[in-house]
Amino acid sequence: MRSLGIRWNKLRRLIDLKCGPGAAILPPEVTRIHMDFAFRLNNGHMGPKYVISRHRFWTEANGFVASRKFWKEILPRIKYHNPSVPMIVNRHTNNERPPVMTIYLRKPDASPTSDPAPVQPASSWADLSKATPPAADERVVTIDMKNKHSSTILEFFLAETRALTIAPTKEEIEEIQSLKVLKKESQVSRARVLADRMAKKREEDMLKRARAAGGLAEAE
Amino acid sequence: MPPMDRCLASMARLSLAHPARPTLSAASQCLAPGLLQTQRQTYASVVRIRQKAKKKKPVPKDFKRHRLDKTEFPQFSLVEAMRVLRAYEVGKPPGGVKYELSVNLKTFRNGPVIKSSIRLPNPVQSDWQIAVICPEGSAIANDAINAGAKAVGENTLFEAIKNETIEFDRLICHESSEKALQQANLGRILGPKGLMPNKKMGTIVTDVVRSIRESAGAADYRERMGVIRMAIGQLGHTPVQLRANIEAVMKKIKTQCAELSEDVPKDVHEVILSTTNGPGLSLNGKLKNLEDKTVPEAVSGQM
Repeated sequence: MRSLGIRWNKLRRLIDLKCGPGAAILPPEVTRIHMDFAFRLNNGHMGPKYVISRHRFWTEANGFVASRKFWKEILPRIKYHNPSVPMIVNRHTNNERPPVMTIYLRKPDASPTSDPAPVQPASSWADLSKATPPAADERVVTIDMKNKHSSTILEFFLAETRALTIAPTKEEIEEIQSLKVLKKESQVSRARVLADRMAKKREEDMLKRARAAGGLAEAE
Repeated sequence: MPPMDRCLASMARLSLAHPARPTLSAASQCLAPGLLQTQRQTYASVVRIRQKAKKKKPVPKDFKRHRLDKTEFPQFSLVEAMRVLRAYEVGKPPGGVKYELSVNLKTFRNGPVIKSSIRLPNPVQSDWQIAVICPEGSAIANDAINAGAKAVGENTLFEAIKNETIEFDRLICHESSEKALQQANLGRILGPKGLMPNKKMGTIVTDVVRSIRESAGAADYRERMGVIRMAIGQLGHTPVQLRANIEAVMKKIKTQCAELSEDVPKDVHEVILSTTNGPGLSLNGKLKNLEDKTVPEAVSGQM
């Protein structure tokens, strides 16, 4: 079993879910969010097209992240702060279809209608959950995610929904910084432990080789 | 006093210009191999002694369990835990993702282990593929097919198992076919898969139909290294449904712990909820904390 300290530090990282890009409270008008994009990244399903070099295209550090990155990194934060809003992801293999985000908003003046809204199936990785047409009291906003960064998609999303961004408190900033320090320290100690282990292994290998070569006692 | 002639002799040797005896450092290896060898041997023996000095720590009698109440380890109410876990699983197809429960026990490393199966109030998986070993063409076989068995028979089923074309995940054997099963020597194939029928596990039965009905919604669990792990719910379950499942399991585990003799004390230490891809969150036993802003309705329904 893992020690309590390791488990504790893992749980401290839950703050990544609480704070960061996407930490925002949606207004009650937002009824659900639907994302539709392909598995493969060709044709703008990953990011902007102005690629300087192939190497830079694939590195995350340069910010070439898009619909999939938005789902992986930002959507959990939105979901954490708005647990009651359904967020559906539909993935498929057709890269010709543009990646689209659909936001369903309740009309402010609409009276609650009796006719049932079309049922949206749960998230699918087999293209089974396409965006349904909006109900009578809903309107739809779509965001084209083709060739866009995940940060750009988030900007569009926040602007369209008029979500209230949550800024981290002073304590939370301190916690995030202390976790950063912890990460650096752990990298240093990991390198030290690795060096120790390699030295030990080298010594053992040398002894093993010496024994395999006939042993010291038999040296004449 | 030594005799004079001996003194004289030594003096004479001194006075003679004979070459000095070579010391070890000055001698090359080929001149004094024997000397070098003895030196090396002593060195090797020193190394061997050092290896012997290393002592292994004895394995403790029981599993290490930290005192959570003393350390203020973060524990979550069920609603808050579900909120975090659902955020982790957003956008994943619900078929492949489940809630999982680990129950850490305070127990000895040896001694009896807890294992059983339970019918959850809200089943995680209900479409089990069940096969029944019973005399072919008998009334039992017909009843079993009517009750929902995917395959019945004796030799046909044995052949299928031997060919490794196993299309079921539960195997029940009727008492009358027990002998045939033992003669078929299928333990080597079925044993590792955990499918071998056994009286202790309740898979060699007299009433096949009842057993199929019970087994259809049942989930097995077993203590391994002091922890019981099992799937506890679907992602679409509401907090109330999930609580019913957890309570049913915990009640059964606690009665099983109490039934054991006092020589082998066993107790529930910690209950941890997680999902297939999510973090493990220690539960505090409440549905909702007073300061929680999340309502149970928010974490039920569609993801």
